Amino acid sequence: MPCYFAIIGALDNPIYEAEFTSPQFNQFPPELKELNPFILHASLDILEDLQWQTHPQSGAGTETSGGFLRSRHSSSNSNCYLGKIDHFYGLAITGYLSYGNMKFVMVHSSNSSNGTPVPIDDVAVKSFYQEVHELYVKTLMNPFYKLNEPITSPVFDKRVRLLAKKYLAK
Amino acid sequence: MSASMSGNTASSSSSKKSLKAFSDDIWKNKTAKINAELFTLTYGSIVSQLCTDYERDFAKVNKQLYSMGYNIGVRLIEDFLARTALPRCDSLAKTSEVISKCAFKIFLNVTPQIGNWSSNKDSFSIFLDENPLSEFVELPMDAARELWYSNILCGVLKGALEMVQMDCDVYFASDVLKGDQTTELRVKLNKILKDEIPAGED
Amino acid sequence: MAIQTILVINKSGGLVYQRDFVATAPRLSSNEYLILAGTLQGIVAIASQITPKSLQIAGKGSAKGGVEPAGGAAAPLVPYVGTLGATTASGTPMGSFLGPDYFNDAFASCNGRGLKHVTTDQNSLFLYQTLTGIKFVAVSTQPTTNAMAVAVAENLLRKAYCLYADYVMKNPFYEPEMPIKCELFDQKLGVLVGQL
Repeated sequence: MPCYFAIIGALDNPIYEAEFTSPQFNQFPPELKELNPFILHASLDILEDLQWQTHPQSGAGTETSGGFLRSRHSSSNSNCYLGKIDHFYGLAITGYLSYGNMKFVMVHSSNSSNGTPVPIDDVAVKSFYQEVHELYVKTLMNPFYKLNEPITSPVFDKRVRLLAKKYLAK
Repeated sequence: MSASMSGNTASSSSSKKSLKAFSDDIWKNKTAKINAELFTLTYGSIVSQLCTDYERDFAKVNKQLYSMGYNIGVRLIEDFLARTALPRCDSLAKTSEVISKCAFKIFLNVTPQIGNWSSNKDSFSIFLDENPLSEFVELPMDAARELWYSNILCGVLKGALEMVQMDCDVYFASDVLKGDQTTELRVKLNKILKDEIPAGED
Repeated sequence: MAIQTILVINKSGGLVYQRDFVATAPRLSSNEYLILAGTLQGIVAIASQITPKSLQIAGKGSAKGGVEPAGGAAAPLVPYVGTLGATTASGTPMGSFLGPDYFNDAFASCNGRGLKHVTTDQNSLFLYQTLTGIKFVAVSTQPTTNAMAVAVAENLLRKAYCLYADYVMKNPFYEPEMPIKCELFDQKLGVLVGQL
């Protein structure tokens, strides 16, 4: 399934975007391709709502998750993953929120035109987000990178794409 | 006087100790340490701030890092000698060994390789397999050509060697940050400042 | 034996630090101290030249020991003397130095031919010289030629050097070669000498 992934900064500015479309992923239909950023931004409101809920209604496929705010009670970053937060005509949108208020959002497409929502493999997607988060933290450690600026590093891009291949190529 | 003498046992055991074991012991048991990431990030923010302050004139940044390093070196050598009390090296080969196995070990916890000796044995290279200064660094495009990110190390070595009466040129020959295969620091001995060697030494 | 005065002389023979630890110590004027420092600098140099030739050659021959700590057979080793007198309360911070003491091995004195020790009927003077040419001088209240006392003094002076490395050289506002006005150094040196 093709995916569109973006990191949105704390000021709601995009700092990184990537489309994962390789032969095994299929392609986004051209009319959707242009819509992706809009779909993604539209779901930011929902993400921000979820951010302040202690027991989110939607999303978070894992039953143990008590929402982002619960995570202050545990040191793990497992609560950062918010699961499926939105859908748009058969496209599913998942989100992940870092403690620094960086929003990691992704549009999943099934490439089938029947309008049924794409099934999300929560375990794989969560792992993908967590590892991208780690990469992001490493980028942040680079003295030449400034917070909330676009990530231009080709190395980061390459690694994210490798992760996509590892976790999302299904 | 209630001081206890450790006497000959200590002296005979320490004479058999290799330089490596000696430095390992100092690094492990006698030297206070700080968090490596704090150190790396501090150095990183200095370099990145210098780049901004000098309006991305990287030649100036290199020079500034070098002179900062020099000022550190002339001070740090005292710390090194107080800690180790090593006697004077009788050849440049010994000096290189002390630099890699002792100085780099104690202050940065790495042991770089020494090699690439010139035919008349007056210059050598230090190969930094890992460089604690540049752990998370990716150089921006415009800096990749000119900036020697870890140039402070050159200054430190220059300053420290000068204080033990060795006039050297120290410079970077290559850096993995710039896409080179190795990180190579070149040290060239110009002359030994004989007049300044303190009287009384053998 | 108590320490009456500690002096630090920079590599060009200038007095950069002087402190009395005994209230009853005969006071020299600052000018006299400067002269003392300059004289010592000269005497060290001369002493190294009056070493008999045969000893010099013998020393050279076996001094090839190398950089291994305490390597050369000729390099006289100063034995490590445990914590000086009263042990420090464990856990007292020692600047950048860890462990129970600043060092705990015998060490080589790099001042092989120069002046190290002067004794009169009233006092003894000990001198420790570093590779960078700084001299640490201690004057004791009693005369002694006892090898143990000399070792204790050399240990004390090397510890003073450790303090110097930490509290003088690492003070960003200290300018090398200039007189030392560092309160922390004063304080720590006082504690160190007080332990004797």
